[in-house]
Amino acid sequence: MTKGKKPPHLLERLLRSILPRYLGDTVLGDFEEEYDLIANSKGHRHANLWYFTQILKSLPPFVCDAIKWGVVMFRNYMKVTLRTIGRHKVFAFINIFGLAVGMACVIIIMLWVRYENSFDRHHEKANRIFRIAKESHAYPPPRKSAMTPPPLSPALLQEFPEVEASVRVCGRSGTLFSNDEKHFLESYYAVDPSFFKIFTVSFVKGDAGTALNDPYSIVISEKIAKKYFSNRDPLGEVMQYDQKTDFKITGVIKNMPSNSHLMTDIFMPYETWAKLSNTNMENWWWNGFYTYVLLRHGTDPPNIEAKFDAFAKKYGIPTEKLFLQPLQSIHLHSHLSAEISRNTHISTLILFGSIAVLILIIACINYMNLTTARSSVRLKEVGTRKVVGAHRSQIARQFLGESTMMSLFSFALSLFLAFIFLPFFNSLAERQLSLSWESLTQILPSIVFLVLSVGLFAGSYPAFLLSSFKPITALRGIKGRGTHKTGLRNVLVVVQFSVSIILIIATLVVRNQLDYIKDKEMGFEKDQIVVVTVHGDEIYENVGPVLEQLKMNSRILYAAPSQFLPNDVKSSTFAGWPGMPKEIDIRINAGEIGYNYTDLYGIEIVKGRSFSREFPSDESGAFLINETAMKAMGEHFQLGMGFSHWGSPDPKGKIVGVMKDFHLLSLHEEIKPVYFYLNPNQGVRISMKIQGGNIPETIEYIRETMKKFSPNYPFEYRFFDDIFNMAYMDEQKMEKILALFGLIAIFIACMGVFGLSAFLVDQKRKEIGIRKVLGADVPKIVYLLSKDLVRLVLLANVIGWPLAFYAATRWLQNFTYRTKIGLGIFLLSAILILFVSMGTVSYHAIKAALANPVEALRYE
Amino acid sequence: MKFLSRPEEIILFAVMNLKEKAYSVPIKKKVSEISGKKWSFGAVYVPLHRLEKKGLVRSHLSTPTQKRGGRSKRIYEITPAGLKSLAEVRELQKNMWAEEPEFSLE
Repeated sequence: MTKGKKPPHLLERLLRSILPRYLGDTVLGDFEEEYDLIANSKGHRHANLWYFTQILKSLPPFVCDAIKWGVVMFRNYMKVTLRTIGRHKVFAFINIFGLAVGMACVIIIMLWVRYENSFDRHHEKANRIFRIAKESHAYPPPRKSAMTPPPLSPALLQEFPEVEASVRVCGRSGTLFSNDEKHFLESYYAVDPSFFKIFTVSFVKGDAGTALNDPYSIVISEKIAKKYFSNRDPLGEVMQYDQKTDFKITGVIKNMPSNSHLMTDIFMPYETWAKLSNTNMENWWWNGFYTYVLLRHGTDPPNIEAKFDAFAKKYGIPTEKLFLQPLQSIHLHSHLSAEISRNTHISTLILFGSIAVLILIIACINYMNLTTARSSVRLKEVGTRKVVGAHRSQIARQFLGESTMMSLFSFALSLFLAFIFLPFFNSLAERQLSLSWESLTQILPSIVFLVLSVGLFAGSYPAFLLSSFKPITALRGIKGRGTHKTGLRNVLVVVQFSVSIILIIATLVVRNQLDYIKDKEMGFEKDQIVVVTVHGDEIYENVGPVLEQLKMNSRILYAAPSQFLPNDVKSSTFAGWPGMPKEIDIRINAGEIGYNYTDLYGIEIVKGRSFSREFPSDESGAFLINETAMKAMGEHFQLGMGFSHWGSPDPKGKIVGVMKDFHLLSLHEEIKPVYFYLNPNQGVRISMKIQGGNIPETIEYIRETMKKFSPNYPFEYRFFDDIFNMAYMDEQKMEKILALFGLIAIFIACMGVFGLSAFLVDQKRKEIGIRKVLGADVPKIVYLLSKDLVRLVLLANVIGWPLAFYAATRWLQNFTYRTKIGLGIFLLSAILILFVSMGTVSYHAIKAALANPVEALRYE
Repeated sequence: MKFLSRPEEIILFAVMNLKEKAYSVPIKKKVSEISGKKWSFGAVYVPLHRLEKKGLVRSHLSTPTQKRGGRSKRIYEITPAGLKSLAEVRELQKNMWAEEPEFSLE
């Protein structure tokens, strides 16, 4: 007889898997024989069809069976799980609480990531809206900026048929808005009327299409409407701008969503604003505005960008490279200079996301370690199950189910934890995230994934290990392999502590850098300096009388107006002097200051003198430059030489002195050349050096003075050191978040060690008893019990150090001026973690060492 | 006393008839021949299983053969109790029809 024909392999396996096991083999054999018969008589197709029908016929009993036994076994597993939890409360607590903390971290970070990702998605035409930004090659080095000149928008609309609409946006703050009863300082946007055609802004009252068409119309948000008009209908009412110009309210919008990079409560027409503020709308070099375009359907952005070079040439700005930024990518991916609002860096999301996941992994490791270490406790159960017929896969499934159930319990607890800690996170991240049903359902798929993956991941190793025991070993009650085979468990502990160490070192490095910033000699003083902003046209034109009045108080040592504070002289231009060689280009930062500014801030003069009333000629044009500028000028420098800006050779004044270098920008950047020009009676801000003692009274005096000169403006003051520290907000927040995560990581890792050592000490009770009887003292026994852990922690240090060093070095490269990463930090973190982990272990170790050996040995 | 059902009777008969070759495939073939209808495997397995439970047949696994993918057959064998049951239904049949010797469909 020829070799029998066989049914397709796949079908056969399928059938085998659904047939009851007691029928299995012989029945398959029967089917194969019959298949051969049919195939020979009626052909393969017929046989296949027949075979397939057999499978279908076997399905219903199989399904019923599976459901029935599934339920029965599930009830059993559930019962066993609950009993295990009840019997070992400490372990269960460590497992569930650890997992819950890890999950809470992940849930909070998920909410945050979802929020950061949702920026600018609410605009209906979002995928066709682009911002025009540019890279300026006018002077090296090239500078990328989000700001563009005012004539760009109309020119784009005219030159590119692909552009459906374009808009200029100008954001300003600190302007006085008033109606008959109320006046406040507000921020506002000046925009072209097309703004509401391009962006989706929902109007409560008024019409989006025509709202800003009238030159003296204004659109306000519900928040502003409530603030100024309480419950009155604001439509048609008048708002006064800067105490000069009346605007009629033509629209009220819903408050703009916070997840939008464009955010304001007041819109006014751009052209009117330009007229009121004397802005030259034709100046192609006045980069003070944001330009957005709406492209027509089906336009390919690179096609437009390709034509930008020719466009720039035509309009006389050949050095400016324009490019398009998709609206939705701005918040996470655009980090140009002069962004309209603070964007989030995508790497921050990735960093904190990965830390949260790492913490969760640490918690999962606890679960694996505690479950496998205690495997001997459950050996009898596994053995019995196997003897009465459990398959290995069933045992594995049981333990996976158990861990998934733990994961579910933890999830319930983690929601609670996340709810408690969310306000704290919100204050750190400056967000208003909420844990509502709505937000939860939005991240539901991720949550289901989270719970399942935690359950399966944490349960994988225990399931694999526990199901591998032979029933005979398991039942004989010999302490199985699980207890002694500690290799993988040690690896996992090392991983936990490495992560903890990296986080501690990172925290300490950030802390060190912040201290470094605080203690670094900046070249100017920071203490007891009060800063107020000047409001109102009259005193803005001449602050002289204000200064006079301020100086009458003996507690105010100096008062000086200025354009910038010495830690943030950000505007820049080009140096120029008579006879300057053509090839020299010195980009120089610039600011205007009044008399006494250098004394007030304690800026040292190394050559010449500071501005002084004793030299009346100063008021007709005088400059102070810093050492870096002097060095940049090299041999051309001469005290008393003529000097100018915009690279112009016509002198605007004389250089009267050279200042010692100070950090005019944040420590992220190096010290640049800078000049100060004397402008004795004008300035956006007035700085005052005040005497210590009775500061509230001095502040009150300043308040009265300011009220006298600008009565309609609310009085606001700030201390310079606060302003200074604000510049390092991101770093401070980073430190707090890292420290928090670091603590959580150590905490969970130590909980795991606590559980593990409790168990191991218990296992060694007899050994300890015998040793004590033979004369071992307490320290020796504590040493015996904790030496393994110390070894692991030391190993974790060895692994953690280089990784932490690498990460810290990368981070510090953000700063031009940075602290050194000393060995101290590493040693400190090593000692800290050794101390904490030793403390954890020694609780059990000392307890065991002090116990009476009789207790342990009695039953032998 | 309990009588065999018809399928059980037919299958039991086939097991007896096939002697040492009695396993599911030939049994199925045999009962199909006897009854002139197609029997499915399920229709064979279930009564066989029941017969075994009643102790009318017993079974053992044969040594695996090359055919059937190396799987063994479950060979059935009629027990004395099985033989007795068959005899009973045969007797019953005979007794019943003895009363109507003239019966015919025509």
